[in-house]
Amino acid sequence: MKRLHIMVRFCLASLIVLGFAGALWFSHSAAAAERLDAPKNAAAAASDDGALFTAFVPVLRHPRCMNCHSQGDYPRQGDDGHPHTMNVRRGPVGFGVTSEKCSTCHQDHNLAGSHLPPGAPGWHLPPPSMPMIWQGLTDAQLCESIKDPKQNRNRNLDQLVEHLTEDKLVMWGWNPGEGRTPVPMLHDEFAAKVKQWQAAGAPCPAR
Amino acid sequence: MLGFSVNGKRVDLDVDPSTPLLWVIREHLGLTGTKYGCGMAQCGACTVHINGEAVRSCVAPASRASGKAVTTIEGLSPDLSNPLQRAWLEEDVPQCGYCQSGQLMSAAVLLREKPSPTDDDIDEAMTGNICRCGTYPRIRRAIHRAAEMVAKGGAQ
Amino acid sequence: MIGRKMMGENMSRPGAGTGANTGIERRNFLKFSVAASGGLLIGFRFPGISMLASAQQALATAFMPNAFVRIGTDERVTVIVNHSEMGQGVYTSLPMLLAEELDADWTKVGFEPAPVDPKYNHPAFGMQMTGGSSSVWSGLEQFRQAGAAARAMLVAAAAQQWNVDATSCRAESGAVFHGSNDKLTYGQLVGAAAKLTPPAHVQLKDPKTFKLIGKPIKRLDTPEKLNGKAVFGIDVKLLGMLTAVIARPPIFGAKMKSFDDSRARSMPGVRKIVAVPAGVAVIADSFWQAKMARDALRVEWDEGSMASFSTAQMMQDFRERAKSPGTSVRKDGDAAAALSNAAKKIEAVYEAPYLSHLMMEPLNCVVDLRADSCEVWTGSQFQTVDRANAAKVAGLPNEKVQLHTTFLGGGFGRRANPQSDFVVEAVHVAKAAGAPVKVIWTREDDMAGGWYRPAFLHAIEGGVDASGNAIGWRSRSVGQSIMTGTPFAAMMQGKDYDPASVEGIDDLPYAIPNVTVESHQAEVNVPVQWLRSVGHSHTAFAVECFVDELASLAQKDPYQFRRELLLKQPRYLGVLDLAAQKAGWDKPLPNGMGRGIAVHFAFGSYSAHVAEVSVTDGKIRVHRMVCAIDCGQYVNPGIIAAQTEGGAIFGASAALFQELTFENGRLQQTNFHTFPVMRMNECPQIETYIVENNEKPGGIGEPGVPCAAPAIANAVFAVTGKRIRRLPIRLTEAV
Repeated sequence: MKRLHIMVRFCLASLIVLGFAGALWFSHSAAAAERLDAPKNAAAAASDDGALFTAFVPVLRHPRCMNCHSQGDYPRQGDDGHPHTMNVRRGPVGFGVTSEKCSTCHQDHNLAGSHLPPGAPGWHLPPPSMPMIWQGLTDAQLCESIKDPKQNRNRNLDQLVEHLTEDKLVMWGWNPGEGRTPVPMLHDEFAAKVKQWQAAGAPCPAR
Repeated sequence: MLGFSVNGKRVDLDVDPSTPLLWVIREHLGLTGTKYGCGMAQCGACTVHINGEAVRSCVAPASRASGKAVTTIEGLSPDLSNPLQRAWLEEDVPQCGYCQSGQLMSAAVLLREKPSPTDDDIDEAMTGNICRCGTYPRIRRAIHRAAEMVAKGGAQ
Repeated sequence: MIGRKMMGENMSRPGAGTGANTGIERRNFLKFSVAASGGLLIGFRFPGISMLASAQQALATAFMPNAFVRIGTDERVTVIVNHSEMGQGVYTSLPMLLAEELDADWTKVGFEPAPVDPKYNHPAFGMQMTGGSSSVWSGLEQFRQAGAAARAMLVAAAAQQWNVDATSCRAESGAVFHGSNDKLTYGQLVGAAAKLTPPAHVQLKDPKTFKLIGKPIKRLDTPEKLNGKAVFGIDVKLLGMLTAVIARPPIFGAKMKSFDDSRARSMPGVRKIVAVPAGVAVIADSFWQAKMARDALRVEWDEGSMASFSTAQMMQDFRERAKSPGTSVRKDGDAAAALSNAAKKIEAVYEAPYLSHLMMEPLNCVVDLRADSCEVWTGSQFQTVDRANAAKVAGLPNEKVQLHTTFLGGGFGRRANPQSDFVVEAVHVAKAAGAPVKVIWTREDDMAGGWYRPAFLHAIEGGVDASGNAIGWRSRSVGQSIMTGTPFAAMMQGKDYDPASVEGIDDLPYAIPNVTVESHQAEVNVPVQWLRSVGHSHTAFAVECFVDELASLAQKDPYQFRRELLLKQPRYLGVLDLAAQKAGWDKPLPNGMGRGIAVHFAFGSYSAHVAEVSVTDGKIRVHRMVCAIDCGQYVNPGIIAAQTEGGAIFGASAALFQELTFENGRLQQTNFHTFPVMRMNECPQIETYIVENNEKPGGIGEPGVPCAAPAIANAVFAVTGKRIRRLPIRLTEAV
């Protein structure tokens, strides 16, 4: 019984991967969307252990993402996730406070040179009303939290996937500027895995 | 051509738009009250306002100011009448004075958004501005004093 | 800044109101001071006044009885100040001295930086300079005399007009009065007073009648520092001026072998790229263009003998060195015998790193070099030296070089460089530029540029007898001399150690019968010089932390232990008691908090700090610093408080955050993110209490610094039970 189960999973996974290769090929085309919706049956099976989610969770847990999705009322910096220097705070809407707003130092692009403020359009933290704190969550909790519209700025799954794979601020994680470690997965691979997860019905790991 | 306003005056400049706004302000516009201290948004000496928001001009490309309103220390008031300038005078804040333009420009945004700032508000607003002479205790007092002036009606 | 001791033993300090004739100068000074600038200065105000306006005013309508004051028909009193304003308030305190004796209307008093001239030499140090926390005590006589002489002439001029006896007239608030009706303002008397001969001797005021001296008068330079009008060196702009940034050696002593400027040459705005002794200078239309092109240069360096230098290895060498006896500096009794007989003894090694002055305004210098003249604009603390060094490079006699002192965006000693490094290189660049040029150091250039506070190690051994009395002390200091190899080596006065290395230990005030102080001079090719509070910046840390360790050994309260050993040192005791009392030394603190105390004498003044510190999650936070200062008779208590606060913050920054380290000859720190300065959210509440007395005036710019580190370190011990023996303080290194 168990062996069969593994086999089924393997086959399903292969199918999905093949499907994804196609999706990548046709990325941004309407064809991709159709294909993603196709293997509906795969979803239920994969949801058993949430492997589709944990496949890309190292990106979410990487300091480039976690430093703005961390505990406390402030951003963090560096691969050690130390609190942002200069007493920078989240602020009333996630864009910092008074004369220390994110945009006081951060531009909409990275600056040349190491240790200069990194930048991307809309540089900010989640707002305090919905702080999207991932630090300290299990994979299961993290998965549930990013899917929960009450915790993800009312994003449905499509919008969530778009945020994860296309948002310019999120994309910065792959291009974090001189001297910073990028997130640990190629963007295409990450996007594929996210969409694979979406296609499977966005299953979360069991607790 | 890069166009924006500085202290209410329209300027059009033929500069490389990637030049940090700081050097455009200092060298092309001759407004040297805005200071260079670190070149990496660490010290706050170069703080100006773009559309009212504090910006470290040493890391902001001049293009960021395009079509916007830039205010420098020279534009804070024409006659030292800004409550912050008056409070700075009363508390005798500056020592060498080099960082004070940036301190005042940061404090101006703080006071606009939080007219009665607490010590925590001051810490959150002013920690990006370094003073090597150590005028922090006086800056803190002066911000509180300026807030009182504003509360009493701005003019004294 | 220059420690007073370094400048030689012959400098007598003028006492207040001794009536000595300091030689009031005749009016021919006028020609010199207002010589119009040869360079075309565009639209800039220099500290205090407009150059051009002052020249015109002086030539037509001014009374200038001596080198230090000019009075205009418009009633303006301009005080010419021979010390540089770098934040310490000399543009206010020195005019106060003069205005007091002049009976000037303070609202009409302004200031102007002095040109370079022997008339403006430091009365004790024999050259024009600012350092050693000496401006006020050394200027006391000069400025009061100058004011009193001017007043006497104005009174005489009025008396002449009224045809009455001068003794029947009185001066007050910028005017001379006779009886109840006659009044002539100083402005009205300018013409008549200018015809008189300055008096040979003048009567100074009785301090009891002072109206300005001793009062917290607001600083005169504040307004222009609040609207961007104050001109620092970096703000000077001349017509046709170019800007240069220099590619500097990455290692001390490295020599440029070759450079490839193929990319840099064609970058926008670049005018010239030339090799200069300091490196490779890129001269361009603007700073950013020069910097971008500088960064695009490819320079090959002969790295030289420092290519493998590491501070870790250097400190290891220092530790070894401290194991053998050094040059004897002080020997009271027999420390070796006392230590071998001690009931309990302790040894500790204290280490302090190289430090950068890190003025907010990075180094810069403007030079306009012509065939037969050279004008220099910069924030200098060392006018006589800088002018002479500039003249040498320019190939001109000193008189052909004018040096204009701007406001200094911080100095802390760096702008008193024995080789005038930042001035000399700018003259070299100007030679190549063929136009007026401003050399700007980036922050990174400034930090890597050397001339640091030297790293030091102090190994101390001490012992107490069975009753807990301190009976023996032996300390060995290891570090570089800031004098050797400089033009100031002569100031070591034939001593085979550098007094600046051991100042603050050699005068150990505690009543310990057997004291040995030794010094090892280290030879390291890292350029070093004075930094705010000089040797005291590291010796006070070692001495005051070790005294605390001795107190623990004696099982005594650290404050009481110090008291007992200072009973014959009333001024030490005065500040110690004042700080302890104001801090509430005996009052309990919440859990997780502790107090530390330190006391020190430096630059003629006594200082004590009590620090209140908490340690939470491995993080030290200084909550409160109570500072007591005894600088004798004082001029402006507002400025004294400001300097004491600033000194405490300067010392605390070094204690908590700052360290320069080298690996493979390269400096590891580059900017404020790796060499942090205390920030607003880290700044403790600071209280300053001034001891009132009639003692000789001491300095104030530096004495606030030394106690901060030991007071904080001792407070950390009070919280954690662990000793801090290395700066900056790291809890992981506590023992």
